[in-house]
Amino acid sequence: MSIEENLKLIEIKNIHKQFPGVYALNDVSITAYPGEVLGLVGVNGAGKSTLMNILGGILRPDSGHILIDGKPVEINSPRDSEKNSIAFIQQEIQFFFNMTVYENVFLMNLQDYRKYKYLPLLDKKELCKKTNEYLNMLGCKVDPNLKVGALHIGEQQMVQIARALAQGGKILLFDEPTSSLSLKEKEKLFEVIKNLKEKGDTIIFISHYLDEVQNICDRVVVMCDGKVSGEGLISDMSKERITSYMIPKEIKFKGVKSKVSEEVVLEVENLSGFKKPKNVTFKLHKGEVLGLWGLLGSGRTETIRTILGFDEAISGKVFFKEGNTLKEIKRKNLLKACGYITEDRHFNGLFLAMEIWKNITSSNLKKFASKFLSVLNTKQEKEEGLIYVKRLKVAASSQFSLTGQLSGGNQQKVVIGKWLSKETNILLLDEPTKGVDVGAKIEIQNLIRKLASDGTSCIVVSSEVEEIQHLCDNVIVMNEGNVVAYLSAEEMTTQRLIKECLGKG
Amino acid sequence: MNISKKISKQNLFIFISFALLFIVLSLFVPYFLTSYNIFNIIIRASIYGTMALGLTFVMITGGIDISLPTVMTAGTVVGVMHMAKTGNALIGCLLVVLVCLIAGAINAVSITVLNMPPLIVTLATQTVAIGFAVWYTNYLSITGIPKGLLSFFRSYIFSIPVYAIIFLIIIVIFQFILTKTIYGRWLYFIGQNINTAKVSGVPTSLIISTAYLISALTAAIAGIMLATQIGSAQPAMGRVSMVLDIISSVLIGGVSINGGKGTIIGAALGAVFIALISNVMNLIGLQFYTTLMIKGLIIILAIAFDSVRKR
Repeated sequence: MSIEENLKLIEIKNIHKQFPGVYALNDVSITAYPGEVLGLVGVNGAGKSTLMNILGGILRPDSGHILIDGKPVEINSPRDSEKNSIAFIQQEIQFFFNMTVYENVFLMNLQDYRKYKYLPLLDKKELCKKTNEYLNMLGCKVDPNLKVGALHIGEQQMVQIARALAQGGKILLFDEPTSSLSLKEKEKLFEVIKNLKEKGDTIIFISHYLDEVQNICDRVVVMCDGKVSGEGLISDMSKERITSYMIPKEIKFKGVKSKVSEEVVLEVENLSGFKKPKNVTFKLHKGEVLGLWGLLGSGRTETIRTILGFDEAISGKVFFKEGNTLKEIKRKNLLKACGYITEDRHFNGLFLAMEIWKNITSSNLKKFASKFLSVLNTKQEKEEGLIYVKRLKVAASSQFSLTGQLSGGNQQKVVIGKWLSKETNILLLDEPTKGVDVGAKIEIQNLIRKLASDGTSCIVVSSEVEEIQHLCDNVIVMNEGNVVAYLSAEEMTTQRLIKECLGKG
Repeated sequence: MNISKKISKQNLFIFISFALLFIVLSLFVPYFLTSYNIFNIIIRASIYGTMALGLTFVMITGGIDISLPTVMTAGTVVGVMHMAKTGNALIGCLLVVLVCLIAGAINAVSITVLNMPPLIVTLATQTVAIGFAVWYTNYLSITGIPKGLLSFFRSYIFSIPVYAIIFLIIIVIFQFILTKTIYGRWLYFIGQNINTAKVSGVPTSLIISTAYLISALTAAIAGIMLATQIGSAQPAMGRVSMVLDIISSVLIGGVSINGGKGTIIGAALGAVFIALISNVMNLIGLQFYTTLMIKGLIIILAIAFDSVRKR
């Protein structure tokens, strides 16, 4: 095989993809050349992941073509994608954790490594040898006989890349590969990517960390609202220029003046869970939006779950303002007085197979029930549903639509409506704009600011710097379950936020 | 609106198939359209159906209770034994309820506190209960139910059997609980998505426990009804095929095996349908094993229908 045959040029031409209510990809054309790292950036909901899922054979485009080395290819399944030398290295590592490294690396073609032709016995030696070859290529020294579950996340990432190479991947798609890596592991990964590039592989690197993109990529394509909004060589694209392409022109976040009062409504004192959080202490004021910032796995969600009593605590107290006094409260009772917008609306935010109105009233049924026998007034419930469908501009035909049929942004609005209907003074929001299109995102951010200026206190967990900067009056930075910094609005520069959350590591 | 329409559509479908089936059967099956036979069907549907209604609560939460018939047996033999000894019908009936509720509580605690899978837990309870019933009665059938109790249950009000009236009353109460109260809504929430239910402040363990207790309570009621109908209590009164009949009633009535969906009316109609089918198979002289095969197939069809509809 000559070198040229090994090189794969991929062209994506005029791809369109629509989901109910969202134009996810609108006439997207991108070309990636062999021997280069192409950065693909954009905010959440810009269409990056949809595009990658199309290349990976998970979704099918409504129209458009994909050409590899000038030849049009049909990608209808992950198998097709693999046949065309495309390998997808996903954000959340996909493994069989109870199986060994070599089994995971050769998962798709174990049947080619039989000891004897007609007996289904694996040639373990050969498999280990081959696995070692790939791992050495990546400069990774892991025993192929270990269980994948026993490895560090960084090593798992390497095994995932080894698997991509073992499957004959020449076009490698990295989807936010660094989001769960330590700084050292990150540097290692970048080195590996550079080596792969020199070998002549085509690499598409998706990220919303611009520093990383500038560090590793040769060229960058910026996506916004399902379109390519800008592209160019990395030398021509300054950070500011990339950012300006990333933000949609039409909708702008309108910052509302914060009205934080001195009044403390919730106080957490030395709260510790089994693993995380560790000794977390903070005060939440009336009308304040308090951010919880940190890397994935820094213990933000765990902190919220522990405050609300969903996770066990080993020590610590929670004080809650009832009437005019701040009193210690049993954590399990706190949920009655708070709204909790969870991180994953499908897992524990919504009843997808139920109508919108049933979801809206679900956390607050007592309000619609008689004292005797708690009989529900469904008419009143349906009216409440309609009120929130209108107020939050949920794109649905009526409050009787099934929640599962709505787009991500509208589902998220229903989750928010569900807690607003409860009319609490404290809202805890875990990634309130995750997986939401840009328009809905800004609407939700505006809403949070509006609520705060009306006197509601919010705790917001977010992984996006811009969101934290937009929304928060103060921010708590977490690292490995500890509070490592408490920053005010003036101190929340991008650099500072990133520096603090990386901690000493 | 959408959902309630769909459900009533399904009930309508069952209802129409009933009517058609009824006409066909009256024309072609001898002795089908005799008042004796029709009352037979109604009484059987009422007794089995009562347990199907209790099972509906459990299945809406996404669980299952296959211990109902043997728990019913265990409770009934204890209660009737007491009646036979002392002649006190009230205490006897309360004993039936008590024994069944103990079994229900064991199910509830194992499932909600110890996090055990409902199928295995109720399979174990089923075995314990039947073992207990055999041991307690020494394989004998126990007669001596007080005359007053027998004549009350065997009487008719406006020429409707008391069994059917009890069944109707339970239908009305359960339908009200499921559709009109917070408790009912919570049951559906749990079946739809237990994680969301927890976050929404539903006391999930407590609610699931009550569902198993309610199903045990219906077993007690059904046990008293069955004992008065056959005039005795015996370890063989809750056969294996009874579980099949109850589960298929609920499934045919449109209750989803995965939880979160279904109505009391549907389950009740399902029970009548199964009673009808069993009766007809009996009348046309099918043998026991043939009826078992047919009933098993009905369950498979009902579940298949449910999962096809979901797609």
